[in-house]
Amino acid sequence: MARAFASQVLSANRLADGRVVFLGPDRAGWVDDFHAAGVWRTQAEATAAIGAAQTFVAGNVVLDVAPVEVTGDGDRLRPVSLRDAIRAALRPSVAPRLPSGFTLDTTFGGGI
Amino acid sequence: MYRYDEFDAAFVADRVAQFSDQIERRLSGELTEDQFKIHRLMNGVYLQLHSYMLRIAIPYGALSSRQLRKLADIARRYDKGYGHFTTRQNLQFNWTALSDAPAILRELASVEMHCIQTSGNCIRNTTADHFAGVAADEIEDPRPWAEILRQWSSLHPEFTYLPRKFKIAINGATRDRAAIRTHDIGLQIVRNDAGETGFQVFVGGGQGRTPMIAREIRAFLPAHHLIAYVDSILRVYNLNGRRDNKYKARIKILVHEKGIDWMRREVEADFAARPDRSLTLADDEIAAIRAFFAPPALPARAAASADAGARAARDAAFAAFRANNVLAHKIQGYGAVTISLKPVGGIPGDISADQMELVADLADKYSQGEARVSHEQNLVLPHVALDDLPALHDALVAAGLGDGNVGLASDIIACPGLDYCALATARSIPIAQDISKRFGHLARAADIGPLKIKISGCINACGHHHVGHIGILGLERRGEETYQLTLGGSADEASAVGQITGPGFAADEIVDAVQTVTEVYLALRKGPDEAFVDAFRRLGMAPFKTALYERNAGADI
Repeated sequence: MARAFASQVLSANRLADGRVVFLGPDRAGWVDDFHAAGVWRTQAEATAAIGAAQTFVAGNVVLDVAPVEVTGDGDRLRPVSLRDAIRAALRPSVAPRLPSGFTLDTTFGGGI
Repeated sequence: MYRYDEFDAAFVADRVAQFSDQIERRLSGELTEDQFKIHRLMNGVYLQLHSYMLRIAIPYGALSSRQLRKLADIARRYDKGYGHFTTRQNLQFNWTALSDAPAILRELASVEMHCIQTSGNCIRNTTADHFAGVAADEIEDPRPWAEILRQWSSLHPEFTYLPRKFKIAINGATRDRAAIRTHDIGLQIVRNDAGETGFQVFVGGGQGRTPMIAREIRAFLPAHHLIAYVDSILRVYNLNGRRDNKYKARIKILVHEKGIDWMRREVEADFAARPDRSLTLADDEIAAIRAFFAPPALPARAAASADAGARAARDAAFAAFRANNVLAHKIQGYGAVTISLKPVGGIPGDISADQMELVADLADKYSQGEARVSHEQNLVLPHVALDDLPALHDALVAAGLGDGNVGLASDIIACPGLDYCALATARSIPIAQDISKRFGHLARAADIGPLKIKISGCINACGHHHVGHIGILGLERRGEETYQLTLGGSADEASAVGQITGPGFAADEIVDAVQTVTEVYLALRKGPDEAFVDAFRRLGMAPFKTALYERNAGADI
């Protein structure tokens, strides 16, 4: 029996800086907030999304477009795999630890 | 340290200009990613889980204070204020932008650094003993030879598109501190009966999905034939190495499939067929390079330091630092100090920009402006007066760098793992942190004694888990992280691949499993003087396996 289609978002890396981005719900651009990403709930939607994403690859905006299987909705939207969850958080699961008095740029973005 | 001449500076400047142009053409779309990727890799730029990662070459681990300050500056301006020292003596920045790479490379070039050949199917950074030139057990300083290999291998026209990556390591002491038998070519400096310097040459070592210990191909290679012979090994590999399967393309597979005798015949035939004196190193060439590595003129000092001794008597933390982090120097009154980048509960190998600058200051104040990177992801100040140890320790403690745990259970090697690496299958850093905390108490770690724990987040083994006394490999099974445990690995002159204990452990079980292993060791060792790895070799796997899997099997009955 064929596996039911699993909802997904599309991730990619921005060409200029390599940062992880997600195709927006209007398929017209990319967002860096996982919770602002477009969620594709049918095969047809996903196919259309991939087509849109590839135009941005051809336009040298992003590279390495990859589907991310997700579960849940709204604030509860989560990637299924740990790898995708770490990637969607835009930061490692462990932040560098430093003693007090030492500075670090802690502007890790996003978060899930 | 080696200093660039006009040729070197022009060479690096040309490469920066070339790669900057390639980046510009990639960003404009003139180059596709497929066309660009090979150049990106050979200039040390990876696309990782979160961002581009830039891998900076630190030839044979040698760093000046000036270079450390520049790395700190780059970390602040172009990254997130920290970097990561690797198991190949390089530095990685995890958050660089491709668009910033030209500027970063120009900054690096200004202090005689670059990222050339830190990735790609070419000859990578040649690594060496991090105590080169200072260790009391040294036969000869390997750094001049490592520098000669670096110059020969940089943009070599014949070896730029090898079947796969190629790694060389060289050791100059009786103890192998460079893990040479786990490299594609391992070189051990030796002396023959006539007192002449030469190399014992090993070939076909490697880790990854098919770990192999290198085989001896030449017992004694006269030193001036080093480049010619290594060149012959590369030629045989380049001609015969597999290109049909990326996972069977390393020289270790060629040696395994054809046999070491075949390899030796081919290499010796190529070597013998060279035109007379082709690539033979002239004495004046060797001398010119060796001159860059002349030992500093260190003022004479007493063999022991009363100050350091008195401090150790009243300060247990300093006593541990002095006992574990200081190696006997060739010159009396001095020591080579290892700065642990493994604070208890910290991320192995990570260092902040502020810490880099502090180490640079300490290098200037206490170590002739010189530092080293070890393949065990620590830093070394090679020329510290024993009288300066207390003050040095105080400064390191204030910066979170004062742990006296070198060589102990919390001195863990770990790759970045799934937190950073696109290839990873499991996280390694949280496991390292938990193990570090479990064994962080110095008295406990001291009781266990020398113990090398190495953790890799995937089969590629960048954490060198195969040669850990305790090795941990993170995998993914049915969506969950699972950790395979190996015991008895070793990267020294008695190199061995660790043995798998049995079924893997979940993330919340692996630290207990490691503890179980140490408890078995403590219960069965002959005494405190029998180190873990020696006890394992004597006892074998059986008692450890019983404790890990069978002891609890009947608990539910």
